Amino acid sequence: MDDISTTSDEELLRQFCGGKQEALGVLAQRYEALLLGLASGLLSGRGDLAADVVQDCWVRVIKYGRSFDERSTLRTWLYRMVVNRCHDLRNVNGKKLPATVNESTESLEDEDARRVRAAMDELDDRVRLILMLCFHRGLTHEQAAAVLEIPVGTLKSRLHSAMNELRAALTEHTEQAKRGES
Amino acid sequence: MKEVNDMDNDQIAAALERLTQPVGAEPVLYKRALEAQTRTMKFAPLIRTPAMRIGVAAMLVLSAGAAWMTWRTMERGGTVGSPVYGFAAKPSASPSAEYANAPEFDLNGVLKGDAEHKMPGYRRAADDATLKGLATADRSDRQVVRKAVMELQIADVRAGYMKALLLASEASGEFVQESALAGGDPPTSANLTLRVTTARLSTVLQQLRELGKVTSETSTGEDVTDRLVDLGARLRNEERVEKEMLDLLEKRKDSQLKDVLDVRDRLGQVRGVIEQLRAQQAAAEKSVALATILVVIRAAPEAPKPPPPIAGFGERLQIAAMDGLHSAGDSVIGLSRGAIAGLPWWTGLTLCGFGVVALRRRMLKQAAREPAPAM
Repeated sequence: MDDISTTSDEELLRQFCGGKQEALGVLAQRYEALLLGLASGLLSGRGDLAADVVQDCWVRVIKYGRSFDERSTLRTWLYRMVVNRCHDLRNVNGKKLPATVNESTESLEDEDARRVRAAMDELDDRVRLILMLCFHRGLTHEQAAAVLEIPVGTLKSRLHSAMNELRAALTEHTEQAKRGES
Repeated sequence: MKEVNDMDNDQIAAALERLTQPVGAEPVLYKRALEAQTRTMKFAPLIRTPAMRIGVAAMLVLSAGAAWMTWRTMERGGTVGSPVYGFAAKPSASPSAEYANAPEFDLNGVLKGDAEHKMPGYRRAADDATLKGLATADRSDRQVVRKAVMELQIADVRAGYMKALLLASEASGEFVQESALAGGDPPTSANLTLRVTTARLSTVLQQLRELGKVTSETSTGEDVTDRLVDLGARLRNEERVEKEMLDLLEKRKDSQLKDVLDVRDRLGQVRGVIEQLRAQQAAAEKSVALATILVVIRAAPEAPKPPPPIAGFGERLQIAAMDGLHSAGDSVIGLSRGAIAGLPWWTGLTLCGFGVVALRRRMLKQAAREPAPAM
């Protein structure tokens, strides 16, 4: 198991396609929790939908892993799949995700996180995606740029703009909250 | 506009990071995916194997070919169930075709009670009623007069006539009862009546069939057992009367002349009847012993032309080469017809095949190379 745990992602995928199911387990050990977290963030904390997205992602790996041409890293492929599935889900039926937040997930979030999430829901999808990818623990800026297929400089520029929009949204949100209290 | 002074960039970053933090310690979703995929892909590996692919492709091609052949056959006006060339079996033009392949009809065997074994169903060789009666008769007691009539078509009537004459074996008591040639020179017809022993009847009939084309053939059998028995009984009775009269003349030598003359006159009549009965009996026995075959020979309408003689090996080789070329040409024409007539099918199949392959490749590539999220 020690050997397989140090094997590269692409080699693990090849081993899985060759019939070694443990290789997929190792890949899942590496990425499932991260992908689930990102999906959950992109889907406004909907853990059930996030699980569906990640499971669908693994199905596609099982189904099309043989055809993976390694023009990108496996990590990039996995993240792209999650991001695209989340985007599809958010745009189903009126372009907006139903605002049902998993209570268990919500209870784990602190006040800051709740405020940021509420502000994020007001933002455009593209802005939200930039913020989520850039602050996601599993990705560096280079990797996030690779997922979005844009240069790192462009990513940083867009991140700067996105942060400004987020701040504005937070301010707006705070003011609305205060007006409501008064 | 009031700044968000209660949340700086670090706090926002930390909050964002918490929103996308990893969820769950042990991965379980990939196992569900594996299970789901195992259920849906149960038969997929079979289709993925090259042998299965070849099999599916072969089935498709065969189906297309069968559809094409059916279409072509129906277009030609044939029946779907008939052989490849689409023509239905035609009835024989003449009965001779049936006779040519028919097994030998053993009249003797039939008359001796082997009807069930030897009698072919389609052969109109003998009267059904007669055969039924004969078949049920006791073979040891039955006395049957056999007759056959055969019509032949022979190119050379005279030669056939001469051969037929020679079939009667004089040595064994057989003879030609009647013979005639007609139609000038060369003769166009001939009639023969052959009397052959009953044991050789089937053999002679077979030899006659080999002389030419049989256009008709009938055989009959007349049971004369009762008549012979009756003749024998009457003969024995008359002989007994004759003997009694002779005894009477011997014992009554002193009788009156008139009575003696009456007895002699009566004896003469009885002897006449006896001779008559004996002649009838001999004739009947002769009829039973010798079968009658009436042969009618007619000239064939057109004699088949013999194939031209082949000079030597070189010429034969040339002919073989030409035949080969003709066959190759016919094959090419047939294949071309098939290709042209089935062009819509082939085109459709090819396009479908290309379409499926292209679509599958595209799907695989697209799935393997996930596009970047829309920005």
